[in-house]
Amino acid sequence: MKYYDIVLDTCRFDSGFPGRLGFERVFSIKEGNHMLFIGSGKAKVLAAMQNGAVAVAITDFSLDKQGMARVADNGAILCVPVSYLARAGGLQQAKMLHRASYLVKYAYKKGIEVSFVSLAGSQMFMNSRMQLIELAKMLGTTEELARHGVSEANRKIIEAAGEGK
Amino acid sequence: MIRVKHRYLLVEATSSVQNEALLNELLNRIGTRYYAVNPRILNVRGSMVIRCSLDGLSELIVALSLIKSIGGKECAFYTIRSSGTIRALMSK
Repeated sequence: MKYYDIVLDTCRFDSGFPGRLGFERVFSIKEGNHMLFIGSGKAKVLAAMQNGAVAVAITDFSLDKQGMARVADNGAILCVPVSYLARAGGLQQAKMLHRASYLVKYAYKKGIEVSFVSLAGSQMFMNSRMQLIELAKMLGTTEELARHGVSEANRKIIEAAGEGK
Repeated sequence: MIRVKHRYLLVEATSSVQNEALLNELLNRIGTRYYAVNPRILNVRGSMVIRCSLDGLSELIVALSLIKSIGGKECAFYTIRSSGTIRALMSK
């Protein structure tokens, strides 16, 4: 199984780094790419779905049932941006982890595909393949779904977004 | 006596940190389960290797993922691979 990660285009790393982290490739994506919505808010998620986004990364991990229903109808992927979890600290981080866990479980219940990406703005916030899989398992997925979320789901997003390096 | 199974984790850090500072940070993150995870930092051929209990491997990896600074100094940890023996860990 080949594993992929997605980072923001501001993230800089040497060419051998993705291999050391256990990834086949690490793709960089512009924050404003309309195929991958990065942000929060019900109205913005609905607008992104209307514009044909293939994936949504909800940065505050808040659950909006109407937005998620639209994501499910469009067959879009829910991205879990792990760097946003790592940026917070203390109690705020604990709350975000709880919200992320709830969001992931709800997505699986509704049949939404879930992907786990670092979406890091700098090398500091990147994660290895092992770390992404373990974080996914902590958020309530099985080993199999976690591996799928770091490999196939991420590849689908990149193929749709048509970006990379 | 029950033999506790261990796992060795090869870790790459963005900057050097004192072992005690890292263990303190892990204690803060893992909490009372720290004694079950039982992390020990080893230096094997210039690489950082952390030994932990088999049951605590997932907790240790998650805790390392979420550490982004230690004592106000920016530092990130990437877990490269894990193995049951140091020899297998370093030979892969």
